[in-house]
Amino acid sequence: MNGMLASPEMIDRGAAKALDKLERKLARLADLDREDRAGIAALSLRLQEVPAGRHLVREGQRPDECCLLVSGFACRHKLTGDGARQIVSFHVPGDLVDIQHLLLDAADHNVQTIAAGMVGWIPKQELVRLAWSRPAIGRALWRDTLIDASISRQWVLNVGRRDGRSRIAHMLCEFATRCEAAGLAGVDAFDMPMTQEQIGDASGLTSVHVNRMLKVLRDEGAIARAGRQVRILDWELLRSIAGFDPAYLHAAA
Amino acid sequence: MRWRNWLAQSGSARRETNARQAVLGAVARYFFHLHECGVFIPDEEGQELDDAEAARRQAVLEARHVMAAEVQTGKLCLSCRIEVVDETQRPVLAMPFKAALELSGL
Repeated sequence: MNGMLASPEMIDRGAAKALDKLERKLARLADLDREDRAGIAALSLRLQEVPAGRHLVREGQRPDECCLLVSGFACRHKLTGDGARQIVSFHVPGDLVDIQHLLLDAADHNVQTIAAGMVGWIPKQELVRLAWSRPAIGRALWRDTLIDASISRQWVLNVGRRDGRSRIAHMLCEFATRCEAAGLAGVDAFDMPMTQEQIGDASGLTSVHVNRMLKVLRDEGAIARAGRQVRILDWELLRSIAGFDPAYLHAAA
Repeated sequence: MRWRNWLAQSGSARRETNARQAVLGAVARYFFHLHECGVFIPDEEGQELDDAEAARRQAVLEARHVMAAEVQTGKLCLSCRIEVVDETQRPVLAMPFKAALELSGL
């Protein structure tokens, strides 16, 4: 948000909407009562507009704020010594992308936006205090980290044991399901924000190989492609190609 | 890949790289079209690389990855190729799969 143009009231409204998104996410993870919700609404939040490719967390950094993705998309990734990148998860609006820094000091990986959007920075200590004083919020954050771990297990299985075609199909299914849970759109009604190269980095494939697999999925009628955009055309078909069972998302991610 | 190194750099190192590239000429976008057994799979996205030599190295890598996946299905066609073009669709190089491998024992 541009400080020159936005009035303090507009900024407050933006922050309230952002915290609302966090509340909705946490309410999917635990039963929140009125005081829990009031606690979330009372958090300090600093809004920031971010372009695609912006680092939200950098390996080695010691964050004192937690980053809430308000709009747009992000990926968590790690780099090898010679700079090759492995994306280990994607993030959708409502996600606290670096929740582990509530209890771990230094970042052990990077988080970067893959699309332009808005993030909200919440002081780490405020969130920790809230989690300690409101057990339901603590439970929601704990469950969120457990589901994150479940998603990581699924990604290891995906990259380690599925062939290229079902690997990409699975990644698309998960992303669409999480976007739907975040209230964005139905699984077949929006365009994927990832580039071919990012899909490759997330699935351990190279760019040409991804392009080739996307063509296979398109020829089968599972997806449509217009230029760089990917859209799911036949959800059931894509799901069966991927062997996608959303149980590991625990209906909340 | 070069841009990955760029991403991994700190802000000041990155500015240095940017300055160097401003002198040496900016990176270019190369497109890797795949010709696979009579089927043409155009690359609409491309990849940013330093120069044609980097594009050649990338083409070798891409060809090997596609072949590796083919081998896992139990078949391999060596007459497929990757054609690299620049942003104006001008051909930069062709990488026949055969040229990306050292074959022996056939």
